[in-house]
Amino acid sequence: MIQRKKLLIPKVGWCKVRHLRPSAIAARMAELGIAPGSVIWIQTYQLPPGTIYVATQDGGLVMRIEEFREIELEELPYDEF
Amino acid sequence: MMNSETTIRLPKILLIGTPNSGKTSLFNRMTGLNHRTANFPGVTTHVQKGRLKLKGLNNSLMEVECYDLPGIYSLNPETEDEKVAVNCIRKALDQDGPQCVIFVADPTTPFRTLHLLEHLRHLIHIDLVVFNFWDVAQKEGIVFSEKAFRDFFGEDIRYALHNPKSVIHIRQIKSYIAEVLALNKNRPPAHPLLALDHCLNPQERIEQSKRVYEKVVGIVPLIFKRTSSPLSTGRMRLVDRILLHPVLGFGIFLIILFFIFQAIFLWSAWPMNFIEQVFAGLGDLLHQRWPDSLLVQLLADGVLQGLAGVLMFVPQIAFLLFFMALMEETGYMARVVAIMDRFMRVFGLSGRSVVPLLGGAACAVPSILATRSIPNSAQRLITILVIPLMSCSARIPVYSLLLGLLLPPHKWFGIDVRGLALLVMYLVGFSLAIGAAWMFSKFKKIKGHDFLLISLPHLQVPLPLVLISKMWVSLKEFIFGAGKIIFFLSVILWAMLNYGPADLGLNVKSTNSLHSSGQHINPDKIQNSWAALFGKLIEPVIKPMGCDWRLGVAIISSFAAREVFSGTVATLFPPPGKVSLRDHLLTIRNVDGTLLFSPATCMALLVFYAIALQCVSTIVTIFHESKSVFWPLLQFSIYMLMAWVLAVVVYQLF
Repeated sequence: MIQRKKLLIPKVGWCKVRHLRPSAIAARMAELGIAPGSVIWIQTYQLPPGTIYVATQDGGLVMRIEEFREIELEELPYDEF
Repeated sequence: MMNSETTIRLPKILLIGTPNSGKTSLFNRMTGLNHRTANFPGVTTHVQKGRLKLKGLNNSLMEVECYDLPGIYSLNPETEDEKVAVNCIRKALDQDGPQCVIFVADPTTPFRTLHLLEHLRHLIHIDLVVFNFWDVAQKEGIVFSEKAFRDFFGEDIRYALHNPKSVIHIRQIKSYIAEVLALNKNRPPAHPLLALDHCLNPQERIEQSKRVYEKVVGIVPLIFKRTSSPLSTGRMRLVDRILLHPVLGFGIFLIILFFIFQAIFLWSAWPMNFIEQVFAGLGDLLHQRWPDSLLVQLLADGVLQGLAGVLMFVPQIAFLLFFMALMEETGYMARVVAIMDRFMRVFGLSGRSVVPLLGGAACAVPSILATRSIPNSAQRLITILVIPLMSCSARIPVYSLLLGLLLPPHKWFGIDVRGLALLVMYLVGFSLAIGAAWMFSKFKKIKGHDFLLISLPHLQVPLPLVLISKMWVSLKEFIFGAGKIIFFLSVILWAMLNYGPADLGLNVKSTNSLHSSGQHINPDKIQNSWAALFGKLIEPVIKPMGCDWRLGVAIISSFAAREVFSGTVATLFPPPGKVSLRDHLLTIRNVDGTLLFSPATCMALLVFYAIALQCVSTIVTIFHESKSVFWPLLQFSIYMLMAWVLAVVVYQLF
């Protein structure tokens, strides 16, 4: 599923990153471990408006959600971890 | 100890690593220097150099140059500080390249660390990997597998597990460096691709990162075995959910600020009185022992009064710096950046502007350098232009003196009113900064914008010694930096107050009387002094804001450094006997019998000092960073004009 609107991103939970745009942001995110294929824990509510909290295996990151033109995330059931 | 131009070329060591991996902490430990460190990116924005002595293999001492580079995530720089680091790494291709490359790794962020290490090691020979913060990693249940590390990275790379508190580990690292330098002839050269790697386009970067990712993702759990996964630490996420909450997060931040400014006034009252009394006692002692000595008059009435007027505020500055260090070391500052981002965006700034702006509450100069971590050039320039409006620690002596005169030292429902007013002054400074940023953003078009990406450090209880050390680094700069200026200006001011045209045989008519009974300086002499003559020249400009020539002298002297205002006031109006400076100043009157430090004058001066750009070091730094004379000149002119106009308005209104 390719989601263009931030509201379509799951509010909270485990996800596998499939696809990110624009590529300039995706490049830096890949260097931080959020490359296509990586598993992240995300939270989009109870945060400063427009931001997303991403927990990677290297700790938490806060990003601005509206930066992404496209974001494809595959929701994963919690018990996979 | 700092490096200077030398004729002998010393061996060079590079410290490379991801942001916030503890490179500067390691650099400080090895070189004995004390550069600023913090647990969020953007603190080291330029290459820092220092020297260290090593024991060679034949027990002879050798000196080497150590280069601490800003943190990078890859060789594709996005910000000014990253460009500086990458350019320095690329010098490995030159003849004059480093003889030893140390990769500083943070085992608590193993993916980012190994991702960069894997990427770099094919381009430049890494001699030593220092796994920093090993004590923290152990607490988090991380177990290092030497076998897995060797299997993947080979036998060529040495490694050291470094606990920042351990002296033994530092000795071990130094002995490894000595071994590397002894075997330097066999050092493999840097790969020619290093020259090209920094100019990849985004798609190539993604492909490159994916290739490295696929290699690294499998080895991270093998090299760093975890007894508990950081992804499962729900406690951390729960705390972050509160600290990053759009409403609760702001509320908590304001409450923390409120307690900090209350503590600044409540806890520093006793040490401030103590310092004031010590200087007063010293002055009295000198006058009693050598009543007619000119040198004693210079020391007691000039230098000691000037120093006391500023150094008595050192406890307040120390508490502010301590609390700022506490917010940084606990990991809270990075959360503040996250919650402020959206708010800053409205005014043409970004979340990345928050760190330099908050740093401006301590000192504008390092904060202006910290803007190098802002990739968007327009946003960076705007941040540089508004940082001087943030209330720096040099404003504390001025604010405290004026608020002390304006407000009684009593409490309101247990709240220290002056502490609350000081917080308001800081918030006024912040409001002026973001307001000015909004104005500048209307003239300086922001093309595109940087994306927000904040790495949140683990929340932790900091070591008291680390907090005290960080506080001392900044406090030392204030005491010795301001101390020198105050000493110099106090001598000049004393001379200007004690001598006048009459001493040169010139006949100048007195037009004003001092109406102040200074203890040691003759009032008649002052009104015919050079200071009076000079002060009266500028009096027409400052009269509309309620100031006479004496305050004019204090304002002019504070152009060297803001805090000099308090010192000059103390020199101009020395309190007699055991009377405190505050009580004495409240008795000083104008020619017409009205109070010199009336509430309206104090408020006008507060407004003036909140806006005026009076720091020479700040102006020079802005010139360096903006690479233009235009911006600092424009900034100086606008802020001075605005300060004067608003001060006049406030005085006339009240």
